[in-house]
Amino acid sequence: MHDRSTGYRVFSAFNICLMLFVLFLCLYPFVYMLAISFSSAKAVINGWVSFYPKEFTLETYKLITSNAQFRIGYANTVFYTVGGTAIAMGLMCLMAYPLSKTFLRGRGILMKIVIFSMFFSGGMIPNLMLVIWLHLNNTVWAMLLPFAINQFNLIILVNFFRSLPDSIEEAAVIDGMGYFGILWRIVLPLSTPALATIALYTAVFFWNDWFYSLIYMNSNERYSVMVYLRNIVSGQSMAGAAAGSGSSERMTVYATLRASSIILTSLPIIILYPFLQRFFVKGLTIGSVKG
Amino acid sequence: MKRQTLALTCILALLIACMSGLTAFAQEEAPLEIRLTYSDNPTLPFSTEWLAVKEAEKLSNTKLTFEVIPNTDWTEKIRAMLNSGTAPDALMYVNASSTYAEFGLNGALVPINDYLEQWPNYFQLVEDWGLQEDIQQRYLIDGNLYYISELYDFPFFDGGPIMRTDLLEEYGLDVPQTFDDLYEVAKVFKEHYPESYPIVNLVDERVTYRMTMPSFGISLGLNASNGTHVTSYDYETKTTFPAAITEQYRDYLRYLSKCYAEGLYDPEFTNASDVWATKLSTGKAMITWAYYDQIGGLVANSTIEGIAFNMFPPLEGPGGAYHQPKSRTGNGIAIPTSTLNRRGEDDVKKIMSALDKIFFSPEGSELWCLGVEGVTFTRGDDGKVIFNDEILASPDGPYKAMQLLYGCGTAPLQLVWENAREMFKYDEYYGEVNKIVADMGGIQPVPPAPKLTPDETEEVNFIKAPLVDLFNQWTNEFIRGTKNVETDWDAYVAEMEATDIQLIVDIYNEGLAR
Repeated sequence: MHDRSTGYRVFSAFNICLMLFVLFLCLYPFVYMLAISFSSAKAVINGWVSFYPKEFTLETYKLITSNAQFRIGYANTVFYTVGGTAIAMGLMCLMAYPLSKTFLRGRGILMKIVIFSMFFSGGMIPNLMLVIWLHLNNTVWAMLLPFAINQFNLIILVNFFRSLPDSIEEAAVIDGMGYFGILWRIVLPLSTPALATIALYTAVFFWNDWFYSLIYMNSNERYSVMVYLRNIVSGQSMAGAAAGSGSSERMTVYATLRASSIILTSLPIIILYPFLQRFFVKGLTIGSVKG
Repeated sequence: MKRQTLALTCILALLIACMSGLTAFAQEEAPLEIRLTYSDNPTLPFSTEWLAVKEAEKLSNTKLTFEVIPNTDWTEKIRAMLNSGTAPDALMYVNASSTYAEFGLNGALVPINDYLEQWPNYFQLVEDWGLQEDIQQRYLIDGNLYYISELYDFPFFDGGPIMRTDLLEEYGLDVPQTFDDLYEVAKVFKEHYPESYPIVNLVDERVTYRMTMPSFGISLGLNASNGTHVTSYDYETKTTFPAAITEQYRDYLRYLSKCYAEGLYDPEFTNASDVWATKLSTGKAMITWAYYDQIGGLVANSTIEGIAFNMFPPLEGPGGAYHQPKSRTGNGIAIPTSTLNRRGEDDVKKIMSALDKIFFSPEGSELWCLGVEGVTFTRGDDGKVIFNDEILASPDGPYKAMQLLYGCGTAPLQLVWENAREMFKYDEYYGEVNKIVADMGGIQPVPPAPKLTPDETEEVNFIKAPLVDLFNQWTNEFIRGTKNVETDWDAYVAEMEATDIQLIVDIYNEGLAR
């Protein structure tokens, strides 16, 4: 330990204070939501809540977890996220690996097709028509299959696979391993940063999605929880668009109910982030630099 | 021998009985399956267990399946359904907006006028309540009617000026009758509570605009009725006029900017309903335009002793004393063309007849309003409705309790609104104030929708977007005082004229003349 100058100490103190302030700014909305969700409606409506719950109650959590629509939506979202991510990761790996091989015939045209569809998509109605023609609408497959291959993630993965030294695979071939064995036993274990990054992207996409769930599904039994959350949070802002019947602005959703819904729906992703953050940053850097 | 004959007779009788039973069983028709939409909101989530739904099925021998659509994304979803041909058999909660006109004119909806005989109960009510002209206005330019609207015997005064009556009493103030009176009352409130902003908007300024502007002779804002937000309808000449650049509107701006400048009007124009409730319950505001059934929530959560609110008839302004215009025909049912293609004409006719029975027959309309006699309510000797204990004990009040528990009174499903029957769900004062407003003619009908061609609709939409932006921007600046309503008015008018406000008026008047 060497002595530090006064200037350095002042700078550090200032730096720490500034960072704590930024941290506070980032965390406060969440802390506020948390405090509101555990407070009584009376405390919230009278403006008593700022940092911690007033008139502590679990009523809204009981209310929301006893709501069948919320519970079904939550279970659907977990299923779509886990199932969708697993399918997406499986299919993307199987597509990215051959595309990472420069000797693959037609690789160029395949990549061009992938890139073309990234910039020019069919649009909402053609996609919906396709889902309907395939008889997928209002089934879980409508959520699991159309999003299995994300072009952007696929390109990251292709580039990551390409960055792995050929010599490792050559050694495996000499030892008699086939391509599936190489992919499963060598390439994938070496690609955990990229895989974690893409898995996180994909899981967050499925977790946050409300639009496709709304469009492809026709019943409460199939909607994701985000459809429910959106209805609670945005319902009132629709007043401006209503036909003047007043039904929207009459709809008083208590702030406590909104807050507890937000907390319950964002909690899994908040928990997931710290575990994957390490891979997330590293994976992003590697994929993009090598591209 | 006798025994054998007896046994044979018994067997024969049994066989005949079985056969006749089987025949009766075969004759009993299977329930007609109908898929419908339901516009869902989080305070009134749809339930398959609702008594009203089950009874409606029994009443019409149908099996109703609801496709629940969150109301936040209602239009988006309906558009996707109609565009892709996946809409259910009937769309509920359809309104007269240009979206539906667009779908109707483009062949995505079945013209109901080809099947009028399937709706006997509906047209009986139309005749009984004298709504023929209202229905006539729902016909589009191609001469077709594309939806069966809900019906009101006369419009409800369900929302209006609401203010603190305990403070009026405390400071010896009369209930304001005019906008000038209201200004004086707000000033007194401000003097006693300098930190407060007495007048507050529910949700956003457009709710206040639409509930107050008619007293100034204009109807802009949200419930523009004609959809342009910058024009209004002249009930005497039966024409559209460019209200946003008239002296009436200038008077309105003068009034609001005066209130704003003196701290009587809350500078936060946008307030989610819980924020709005906080301001009123904590005494940060005392006057608002909102709905009668919201008063209970304001009082229940307040810690102010003796706090009391009440709703009063519309205030009088330079243009009279009017609440926002209201229609006697609102949202309703449309049948997508895909249903006709999928199920055939015979089935579509059966669906229409069943829907007519479910929603518009005397039994059906009573079911959606009051529920089932003997279950949800009984009748006293004077014919008065007495709700069951579960409804009466509910802290939400009968209206909301009936919605949540039984599905009665839900806006997407109740299509017949008879004022006297509705009043059973409210207290006496609500009935009284409704009567006062009806007697004073305080609710004008929603102006007729002009019959526009698809090209004209597109042209109006094209002009409207920049015009409404401009209008909103100037209105905001006039009220907040960054632009002066006296000195900057001419510049505003010139800009509105340059952005073709008159063109919209001309197109609308041409449409109205058709």
